[in-house]
Amino acid sequence: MKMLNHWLEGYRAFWEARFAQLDHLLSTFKSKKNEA
Amino acid sequence: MRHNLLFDFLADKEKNTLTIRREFAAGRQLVWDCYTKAELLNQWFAPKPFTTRTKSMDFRPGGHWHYAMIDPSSGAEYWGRTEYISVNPIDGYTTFDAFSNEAGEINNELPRAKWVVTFSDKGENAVVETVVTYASLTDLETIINMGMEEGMKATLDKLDELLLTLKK
Repeated sequence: MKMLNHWLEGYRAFWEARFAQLDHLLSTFKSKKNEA
Repeated sequence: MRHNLLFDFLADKEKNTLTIRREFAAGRQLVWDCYTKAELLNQWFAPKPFTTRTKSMDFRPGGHWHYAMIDPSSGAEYWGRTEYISVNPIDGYTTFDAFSNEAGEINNELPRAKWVVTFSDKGENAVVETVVTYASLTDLETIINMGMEEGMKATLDKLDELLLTLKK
């Protein structure tokens, strides 16, 4: 169970980093829309 | 990450599910596109420094997404194949996720997971809920022990640096 909890902690960080990139991509679209 | 945006990460060890819920500062259509178009998925799905490369994608029920997450430092490629079961634009879709090889052959020694991805509105923002279900706790343990541990460990070592940067 300890390994499972460790993996969950890591997997959460994995998704956080993934979403940070999606935030960045979405903000790029927003900036382009505002410029147009 | 933006701390004012909803982020839930819930594990139900009884039901072998992970529920990942996240709010995005964009409309639902745009977020849907980012999840369902290869050229956009390639830009965010693998955390840096990893990159995503789509080999083929056919986003429809019965279709698939065949992709690799690539470690630029070693050149190692981690292949995955997602099979689309149902698609309801722009409300959600369901998939079966699997490890595969470059040829797209599924690795049947590793468990597969069912993903239910649901999109909803929260004011002007969109919320995406992803429920990942493994058939059993044994399946999840297999993933940890056999499939993901090493790749994940290598990823997380680099993620520590990334997360520190994001927090600054």
